[in-house]
Amino acid sequence: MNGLSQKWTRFVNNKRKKASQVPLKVLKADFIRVFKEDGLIQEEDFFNMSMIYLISTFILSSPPQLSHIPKDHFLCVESGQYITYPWGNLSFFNLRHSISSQMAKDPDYVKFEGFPLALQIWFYECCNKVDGSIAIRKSNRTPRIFNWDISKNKIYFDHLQKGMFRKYGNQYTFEDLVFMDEELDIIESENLTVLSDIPFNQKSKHLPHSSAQKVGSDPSLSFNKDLQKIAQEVVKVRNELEKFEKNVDAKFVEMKAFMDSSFKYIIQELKSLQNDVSTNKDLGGERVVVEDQRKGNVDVQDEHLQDCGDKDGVQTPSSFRNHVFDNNCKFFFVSLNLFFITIFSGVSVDVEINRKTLTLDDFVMPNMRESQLVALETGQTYVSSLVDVESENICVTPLEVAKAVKTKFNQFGVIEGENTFISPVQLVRTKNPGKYAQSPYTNLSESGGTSVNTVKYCVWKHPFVNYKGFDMYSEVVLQFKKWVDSKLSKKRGKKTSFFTAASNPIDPPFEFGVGRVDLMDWFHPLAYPGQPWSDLHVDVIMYYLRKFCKYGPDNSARVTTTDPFFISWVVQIHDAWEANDKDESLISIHHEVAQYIRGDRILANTPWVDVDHVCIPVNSSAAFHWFLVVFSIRKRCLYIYDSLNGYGVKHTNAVTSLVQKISRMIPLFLVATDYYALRKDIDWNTDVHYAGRPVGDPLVYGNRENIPQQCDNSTDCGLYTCAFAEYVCRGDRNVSMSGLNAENLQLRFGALLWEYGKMKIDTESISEDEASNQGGWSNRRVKE
Amino acid sequence: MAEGSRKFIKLKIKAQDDTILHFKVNPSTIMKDIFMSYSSKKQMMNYKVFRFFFDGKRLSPKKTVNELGLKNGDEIDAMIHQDGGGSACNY
Repeated sequence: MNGLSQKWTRFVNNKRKKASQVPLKVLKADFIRVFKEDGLIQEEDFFNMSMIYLISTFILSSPPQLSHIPKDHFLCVESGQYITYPWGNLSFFNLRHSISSQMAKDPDYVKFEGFPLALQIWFYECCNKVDGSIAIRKSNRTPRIFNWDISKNKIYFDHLQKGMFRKYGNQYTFEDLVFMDEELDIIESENLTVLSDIPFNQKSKHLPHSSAQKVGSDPSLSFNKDLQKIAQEVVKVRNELEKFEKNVDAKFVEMKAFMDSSFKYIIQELKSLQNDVSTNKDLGGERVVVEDQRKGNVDVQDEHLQDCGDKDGVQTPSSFRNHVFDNNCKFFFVSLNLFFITIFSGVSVDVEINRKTLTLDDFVMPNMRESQLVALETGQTYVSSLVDVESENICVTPLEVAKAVKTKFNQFGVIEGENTFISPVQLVRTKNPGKYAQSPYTNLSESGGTSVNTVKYCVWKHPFVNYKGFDMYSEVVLQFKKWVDSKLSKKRGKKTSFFTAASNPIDPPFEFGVGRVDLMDWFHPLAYPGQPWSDLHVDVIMYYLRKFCKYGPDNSARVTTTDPFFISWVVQIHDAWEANDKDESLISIHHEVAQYIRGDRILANTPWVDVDHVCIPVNSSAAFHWFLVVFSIRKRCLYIYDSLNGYGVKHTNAVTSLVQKISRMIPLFLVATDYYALRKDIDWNTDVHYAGRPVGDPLVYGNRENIPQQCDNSTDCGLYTCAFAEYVCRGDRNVSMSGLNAENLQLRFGALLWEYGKMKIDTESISEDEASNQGGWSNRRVKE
Repeated sequence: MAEGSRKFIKLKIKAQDDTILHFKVNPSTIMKDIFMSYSSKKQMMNYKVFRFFFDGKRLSPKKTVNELGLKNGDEIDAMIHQDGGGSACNY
């Protein structure tokens, strides 16, 4: 013992009054206490001590009452070797050791040793959305370790299990940590090396040293520079803004002058028109009527104003009905109203220019209601003058007035054509009131026997609409499980069915497009493992996957699926084709396989011309097995997704013989349906997969390797087939998630279908009629 | 009913092996009867062995010809049901 450690041990031993013993390690709590007390450490040792403090608390954290600082650390710090010492390795070893030892006990609460902060930050960064009660992202700085603020409450294992790490229905998805562009820029600009490129030992010694210094000094400089740049840019932008404002002001002054002059002309014209009329009219009793009607008109407009104030939008002035006018007058008022609203919306702009300061809205988008109000205020005198014109039966029809004014507009060059005359005011309904005063929305014929049943279409097009990726709410799963459990037969011993005769029927039945489910027996394989899936299970899921690919949302993968009976038709035509010595005349465009390809065979079908991959669920009755075949059109090959890959000779033969039939038949039917003529993006000369091959050449096929496999003695092949198809439909053709949990997936499919079917029953809606595409199918058959 | 009983509808049922059987049925016939008749012709004891399709949808055995909207000359596909379980049920 020498130097620092000697002093230290002496010091500690003095405290303990056991000078004779020379300890090989020091209790961490003692060290921390001494370090934090003033005056116990000499100034020359202070740097080394603080370094030990940093190492023992931050890098190698552990419970201080239970752990010790070994003598080696003191020696290491004293000799200066701590700079090259691989603390990272040690910290990682401690962390790994503590995790493996403590997690084995299945505890409620765990304290990790080593450097668990890194682990936490890594988790938070990988998780797209972190539970707010665990950690909160405070900022977005480049050493990501600074970004997180961790709550001081204890986090219990149970909480994590039910929250971030729950088994199914987990909304938190984890992705790999990747360097962002900004981070790489900063790393380059500050001459830091990318951590992943250097060996582990170097990493540990570089990290604290360089980052601590660089981060402390450089950012402030760069920040000041940035600030100056921004200030300069702000000045520039302001100058430009001022210029622009001046420009706009000048333009508006011009516009105003122009409009003033043009409207003067209009008003003059109107007045002269009035004078002409007044010279021609007869005096007498009619004049009184005119004045009455003028008042009426003003009344109408006053009420109209109130209407506009009370309710939004433009309404049919109800007050018209209260005034007794003859038909001509009524028509005239309505048309006059319209006419003046359209004309004087321009005047309103003029008035508002005088009142307010200039704003862009006044010119470009005048508020409809305001402009209308102002129009009515200012336009009253003109309205009354025109009432004179019309009511005295002088042959100036509103249409002619409109035409006249329109031509005036043309003269002044304000409006160039009818199409450019855009009125900012909504059209008032010009419908005459009916014989009986009634709302136009009441339906008199409701009680008749001819009422039509309106069909309500389902809001969700498919069950996958509401969930992102493979997410699923655990509540729905639990409800589904509960629903199935509630109907299970309580009978013990040997049972023929899982449900009683009373509980088995589902009323009303679930409508799943391709078929209806009216027995609980159908849902049982979705809730409990160990039962084979029937064609209806696979067909329903394939149908909804087809809809998912067709309608989205957010699905760019060009994929479609077929129903499980595609293989039956392929086998049928293949056998007939072989029996007839490969007679090509059997391959007709009316055959079922050709109908699949053209997209008018099954529900929600997409023509194969519009897709790049086709998922074909295949059932082998010989092997009692479901597997998926994916036809990759661009690569001209078939991928076999088999969850029992290489299970045995018999199994492999059964699978291969079916795939071989598909590989032979599909090219022939593609040729028969003129597929390649429609498919412009496939070049037979240059495309690697197509060049030099005969058109009818069988497709290449092979197993997709490294995909999840079903457990021995399980019956999950139908489930796996559907899961593979869903992966392909989501664009992940490698089925990258190897940890495919069969039980969760099965419950997820069950809960999805149950929730969707239940929603359709609850809202009494049906899926939109997918048969419309293939209406020609049955009709064509009839004709044939 | 008196009018309807005189009208018969001719249906075709096409099997996977491309054989077609013709049926002349009353519009009020329940589909199950037709299915059972077809199964017995095909020497199957249970009609549930077959899945009957029309326009891409499975036909419910409980409904009548009229309820399903089948017209004269319509063709129904009869597919043999498919099951699959994989290893546990194999060999």
